[in-house]
Amino acid sequence: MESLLTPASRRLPLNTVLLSLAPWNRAARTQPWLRGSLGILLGGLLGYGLPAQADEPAAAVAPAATVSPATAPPAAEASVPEAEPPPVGFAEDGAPLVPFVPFDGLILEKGNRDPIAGASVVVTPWRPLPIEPGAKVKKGALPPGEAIGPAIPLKTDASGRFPATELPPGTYRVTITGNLLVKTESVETLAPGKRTSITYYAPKKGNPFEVTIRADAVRKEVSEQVLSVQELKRIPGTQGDAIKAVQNLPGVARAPFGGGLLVVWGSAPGDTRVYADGVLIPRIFHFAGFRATINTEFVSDLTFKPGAYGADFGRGLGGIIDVGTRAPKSDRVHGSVTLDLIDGSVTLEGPITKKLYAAVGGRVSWISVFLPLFNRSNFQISPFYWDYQVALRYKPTSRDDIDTFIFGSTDNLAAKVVNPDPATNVELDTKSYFGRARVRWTHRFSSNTSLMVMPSIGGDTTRFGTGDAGIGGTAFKLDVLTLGYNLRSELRHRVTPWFNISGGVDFEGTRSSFDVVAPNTQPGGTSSGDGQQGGGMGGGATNFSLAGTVKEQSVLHILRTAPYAIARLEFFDKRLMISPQLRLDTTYLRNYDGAVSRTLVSPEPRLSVALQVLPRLLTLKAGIGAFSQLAQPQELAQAFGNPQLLAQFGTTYVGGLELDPTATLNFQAQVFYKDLRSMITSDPTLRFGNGGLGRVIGGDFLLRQKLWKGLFGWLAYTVSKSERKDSPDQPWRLFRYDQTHILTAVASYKLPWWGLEVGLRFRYVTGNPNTPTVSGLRDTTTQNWSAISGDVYSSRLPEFHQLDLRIDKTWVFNRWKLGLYLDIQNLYNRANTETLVYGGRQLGQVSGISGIPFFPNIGLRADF
Amino acid sequence: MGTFASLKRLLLGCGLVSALGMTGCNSDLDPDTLVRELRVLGLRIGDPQAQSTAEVQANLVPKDGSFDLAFPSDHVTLSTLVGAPTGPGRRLAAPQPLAYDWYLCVGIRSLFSPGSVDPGCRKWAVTDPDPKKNPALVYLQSGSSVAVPTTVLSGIVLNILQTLLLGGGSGGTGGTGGTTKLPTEPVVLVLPVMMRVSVVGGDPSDSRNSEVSYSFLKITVALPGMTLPVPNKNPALAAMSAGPEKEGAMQALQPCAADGQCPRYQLRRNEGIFLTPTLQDGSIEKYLQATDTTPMEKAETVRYIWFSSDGEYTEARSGNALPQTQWQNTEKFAAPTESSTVKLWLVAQDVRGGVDWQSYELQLTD
Repeated sequence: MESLLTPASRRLPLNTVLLSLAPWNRAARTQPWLRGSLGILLGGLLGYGLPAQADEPAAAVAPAATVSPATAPPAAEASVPEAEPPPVGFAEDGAPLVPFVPFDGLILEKGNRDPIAGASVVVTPWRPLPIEPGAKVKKGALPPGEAIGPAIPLKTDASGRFPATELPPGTYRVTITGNLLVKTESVETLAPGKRTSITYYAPKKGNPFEVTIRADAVRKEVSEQVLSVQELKRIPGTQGDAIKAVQNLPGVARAPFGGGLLVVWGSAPGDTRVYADGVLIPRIFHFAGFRATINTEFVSDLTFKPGAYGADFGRGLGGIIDVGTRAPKSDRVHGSVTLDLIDGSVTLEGPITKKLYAAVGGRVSWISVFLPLFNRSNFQISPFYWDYQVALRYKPTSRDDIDTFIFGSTDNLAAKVVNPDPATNVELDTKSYFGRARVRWTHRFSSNTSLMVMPSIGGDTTRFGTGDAGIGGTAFKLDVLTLGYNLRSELRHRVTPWFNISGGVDFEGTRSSFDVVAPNTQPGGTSSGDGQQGGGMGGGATNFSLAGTVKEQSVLHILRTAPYAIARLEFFDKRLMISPQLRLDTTYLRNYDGAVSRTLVSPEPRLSVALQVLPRLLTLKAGIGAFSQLAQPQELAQAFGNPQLLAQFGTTYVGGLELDPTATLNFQAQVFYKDLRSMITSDPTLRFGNGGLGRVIGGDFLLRQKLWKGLFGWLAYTVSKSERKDSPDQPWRLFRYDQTHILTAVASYKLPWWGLEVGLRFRYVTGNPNTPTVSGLRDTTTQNWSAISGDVYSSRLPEFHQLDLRIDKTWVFNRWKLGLYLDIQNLYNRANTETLVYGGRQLGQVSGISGIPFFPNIGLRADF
Repeated sequence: MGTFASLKRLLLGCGLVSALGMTGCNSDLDPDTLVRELRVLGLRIGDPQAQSTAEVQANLVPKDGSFDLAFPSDHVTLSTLVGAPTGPGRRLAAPQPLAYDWYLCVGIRSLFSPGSVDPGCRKWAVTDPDPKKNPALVYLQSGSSVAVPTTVLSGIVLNILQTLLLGGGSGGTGGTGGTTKLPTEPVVLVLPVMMRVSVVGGDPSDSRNSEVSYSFLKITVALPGMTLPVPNKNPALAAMSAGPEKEGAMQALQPCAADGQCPRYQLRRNEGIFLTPTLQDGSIEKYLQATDTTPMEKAETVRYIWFSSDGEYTEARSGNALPQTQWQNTEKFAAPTESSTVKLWLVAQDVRGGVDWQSYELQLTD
């Protein structure tokens, strides 16, 4: 057992010592336990005299704590006078024989100095015993001694302090216990005539980097996972990024190359909307999915709704991911520094005034520094990203809470291929930025009624340029600037104990300007994510240099307003919950010259039902909902898209059960079906049309062990089939990212030795569909083979499986903590084929490209 | 815009993997330079003489209350370079007669997406219908070099113009996105020209006996009142020099003649040579390229594509700034130890569809 306690003793000067005997005397007369304690205490003291170390500072006395059993004799053994004689140590007139001294203390969590409220502090008179010759005192153990009086129990208050206690000078054992605390003991010496105040740093059980989770009352959806950051950060393969862990949940397909695509319940990546506190953000991951765009330090929880979610969200046919951010800490200044091979981040937070708290953070990547060390090809790639977060919280009254979150993210990627062949030279420069600022005001009118108003503004820029070299000599330029202004507001009211109603509005306004120069070619894919392999033209690439160039400079305004109402009725002692909901999504589009001006209206009724068959054990759930999704702005562009595109529609059906066999073990299973209509497909003359259809059927389960005795983990499995039709008269075919089986097992355990925590993640996933190349035509203009494709997605890539390992080691110091982690991806170096390359004459040969091989990443993290 | 997404995905996927030192995008596939089977190495539009016009231009002229096309020439010549190495380890044991069939692809996707081939024009499997009955294809002629009368093109082009200008789609350069808008500049059509070469009498079910290739025929049509731009011309290879040292003495390498006779360059086995082609003056033309502001004048980039019946090149393709490449008689392939002669082909292309080619023979000695 390592050293766990180091008391910081602060002595007051003698002239400030306050020895109030009268209260002590009064207390002793009214408190039987105190009387007995005093008698024994003083008897012991008088019998043995003052301890030898009485003049030594307390800080030097108790270097360690231990988990040694209390050896204090039971209180019954104390010699308590039967009548009302004066207590030992007191004269007949009640005056103490020895002047008492005050003793108080503060208990803080070791490592982060958070005050620990409700901790038990037991002060026991203690007599040190001489160490026998040859006896070994265990490091960190208490020096030998024995209790010489009854224990005095105390409790810490909300600020972590235990009250001042007047005690006779002498030696005491102080034992600190509490929920989630490691039992710690210390020996203190109270010198006569001095006040003794000691700060204890008590270690907590479990995760030393635990993040407190805000537990707002939320409406539970039929299908929803709310995950705490403390678990998510420890998942192997995520490099400590809690948000990346969402890719391990049931219903989420594996992204090719481990990238950041989110394919939820068979929907296209763009169909799943990502929010931060209810504010839409365009990207949740930085370049290639290395890292989330919001620092984990600012995240309190992650809510994942794969489908059939409530009417407060919409505009997407896939799922919802809402990253909940936490309020800045209010007790004192905290900070953290995180470094690994990919990037580094810094955060700082604390109170500014009594009512205003702030947190700031920033992260910058340096992977581009390390890439050249590994890169042996002529493909020079230089990714760079950074992000920032600023959080402010102000509590003007007990009923009002105002919090602000300002955040942004930038991804730059420069790529260069220098070849002797000018047609294959590439010079590419992309820049993507988004920034958001939101203010959320929450007002509680009463315990039954509350109002939330959250305006937000933001901007997105996407720049893609090829410079003079272009790509194979053909210039590309894409410059899209989007300004957004949003409002989310909701009024909640509990009408009766069994009837709640909420009403709100979800408004999003955008102004997108496009400045594009590109070859005049048909699109290779659609926002429905199903661009066929080989360029979307039935196979075969396009010779851009012959395609001619198209320019577009335009502005598109989109105003989306969605009022909604959610009722929640609970019957039979809340065992049956029925929640009918309605959302009216209206969209107004207008381009700058008024050539396009349209309004689309989509009424979207939704219903969810939950029945507790066995209270607190088994719940059955069902839900149905209508959803819609607008085309992406670029698909609505005049020169490159079709401004007349309609919205895509879907209906989601879900039914399932939830089982809670223990307080920490949870099992959820569900089946789902999605019916997708008016899907956007490429069109030979209009570029895009609404002729597509889709359907997804599947089921998933999640067996989740929450943190329990140092162990947490889950087993997630999804089986599904996602299909599409490019037009109603065509047969069904597989969706591009259809993955029949997705199995993810995650487990992390804190070892009892050396402060180590070990985690494993195993994944098994069916290979993605593949459109085989059956032959090739010789394109003599590019001097490449142009594929003749077989049936679309009629074959599959080999199955994927991978084991990842994570080892965490944490050193906890009194005022800060240091963590070191090793995150190894693909432990057994499985060559997982991510895509196929066809080559040779008429593309008759095939070879696979594998994904990430054995890849270790080492990181450091310090908190104070 | 989808093009951006696909391109970005491809670049990021391959680039990241290779940049991280992972498997990478190259694999154990045969190099494209190696010609062991029947291979189409080039298609050319234009007359045989050097620096001939590499595209077709026409004026839309009123005629009998309607419109017709006036071409400056009465024909357009199409020719091909086919590699058909014979001998040990090759598909063809001995030279055999080859058949060449030329088609024009008029599938609608090709019209609306210049530079691509309509899926309907990609049906060449044995199980597919006879290409001459494929409605997406228009059969032109047969022969390794054919002169297609412009009268054949006239009807096709007029039909396409009608579709593009009146049919509601976007033009080749118009980009009107569904709104009918008369062009202000000459209309550019880019139609795939497809050619199938096959071994006469060969088993049609064996893909090694035939190959389908394509290039693009650029047809610029000026509407009344418009002026046609300066047409692109084919580049012309002037000479080839070869030598064992990059900076050392070089020897002129004479190309094979039109009748197939080839002077031979002596080379010891397991040695390499540096090959440096040169172009005739005037081969690199200037042209206007669209930018986000005003069109920018650019000089053509000419790329050299190298093929051989054996051996390996250090660069499969090179550019006008670095035309030189090294050919190595490696032991990678079995044939060099058996072959006494190696055929080299060089194709020079400009970025606008102009092309020229030459072939050479090396004599390997022990």
